[in-house]
Amino acid sequence: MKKGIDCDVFHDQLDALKEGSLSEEGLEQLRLHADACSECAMSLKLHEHLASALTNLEAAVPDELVASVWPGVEAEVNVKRSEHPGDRSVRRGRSWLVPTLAAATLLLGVATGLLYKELTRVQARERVLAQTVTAQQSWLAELDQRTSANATALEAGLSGPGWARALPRREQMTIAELSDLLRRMPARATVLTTSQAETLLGAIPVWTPPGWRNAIGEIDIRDGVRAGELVEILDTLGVDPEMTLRTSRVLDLFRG
Amino acid sequence: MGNNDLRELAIACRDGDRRSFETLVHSESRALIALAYRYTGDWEVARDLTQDMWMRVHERIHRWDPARSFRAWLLAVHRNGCLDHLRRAWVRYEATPGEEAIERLRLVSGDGNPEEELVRREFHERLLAALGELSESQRQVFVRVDLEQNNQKEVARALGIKYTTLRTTLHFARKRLATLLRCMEEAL
Repeated sequence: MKKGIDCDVFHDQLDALKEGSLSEEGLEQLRLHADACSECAMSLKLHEHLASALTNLEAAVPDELVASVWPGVEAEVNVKRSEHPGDRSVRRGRSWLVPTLAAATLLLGVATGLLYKELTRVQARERVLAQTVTAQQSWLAELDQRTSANATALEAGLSGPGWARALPRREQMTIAELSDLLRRMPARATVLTTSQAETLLGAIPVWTPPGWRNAIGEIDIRDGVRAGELVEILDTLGVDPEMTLRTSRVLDLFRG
Repeated sequence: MGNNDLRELAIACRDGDRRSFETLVHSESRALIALAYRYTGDWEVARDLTQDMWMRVHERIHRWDPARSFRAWLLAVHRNGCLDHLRRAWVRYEATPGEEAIERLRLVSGDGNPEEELVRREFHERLLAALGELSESQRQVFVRVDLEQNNQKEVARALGIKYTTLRTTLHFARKRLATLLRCMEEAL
């Protein structure tokens, strides 16, 4: 006769007892059944014997052996933490969470401030550069206009001092150099005004060959002398190209 | 330490509380060394295996499901470590499951009462003899569940049998042992 529970339930409850999950009521039922069933009583005795043996084995573990476990584990954990600082398995405790978050927030704030400051500085620099570019573009446009103006002035002939800079930087220059200079000028550019031409003709020395005198006398100087005409005169007169003139004299002549 | 206290500590430990981890190590290491000793028969090796186990727990505690018993998870991790050690050491555990462990338990002394100690040792001798009368499958299941205190479902999985088969085999093993032990006592 089994009171309360049968043998199958007894063994289920014995498992619960081993797991530490058996209630007081279940334990009472277990003992009542064991009192009435010799085989189940022996099963309970076997369980208690093994539990006792295991407990005794635990008690037999040397204290110094138990005490030596944590230092070894702690050392290993520290080594691992130093080797793998980002490893999830060596996370810091919850007690570190608040200061860590606070530090992260502070860093984020500082970083944001620095970024904003840098952004403002870059924007200001960008404005200055834009102004500089605009000024340079304006200057280049003006320069372009000036260049065009110079070209126009050259087309206009000797109205400006540009031709004078084309004279050789020497005391003497040859007829060939003078002729070359005149050829580079626009053919219709006036190089001698009427008065300059009269002065020049009046200064012709007496020893000038008669052929030259006749040729010069035929030059129409009422509208002045143009570059093309002067080149033609030089060619007609057959002046020796290597004949030299004083550069200052040519300069004075053309300036008038 | 109770299961609830253990669970609270484990949760704190899982959240990264180092002090909880230290408390766990201090409170559970004795039982774990004893368990490893049953596998190895060597206190120093048992201590080393326990330290290795704590390192694994430290690395893998986020895998523990708080809905499950922490102690069961802890013991499972430890047993796996001990069995790995035996495999590495070329110990043929499967050939003689639990016999050495039972032998070691026989050598463990009690609180010092000579008469109780004598009764306990005699009972243990009878247990060893009765265990030899079980079938191989009954002995394997009994040793792994009742002696090594493994989780029954995990043992079933390890042995490649159904859980219900394990339950039935275990039931018959216990009953057979109880019958044999009762007969031995009656014969005295």
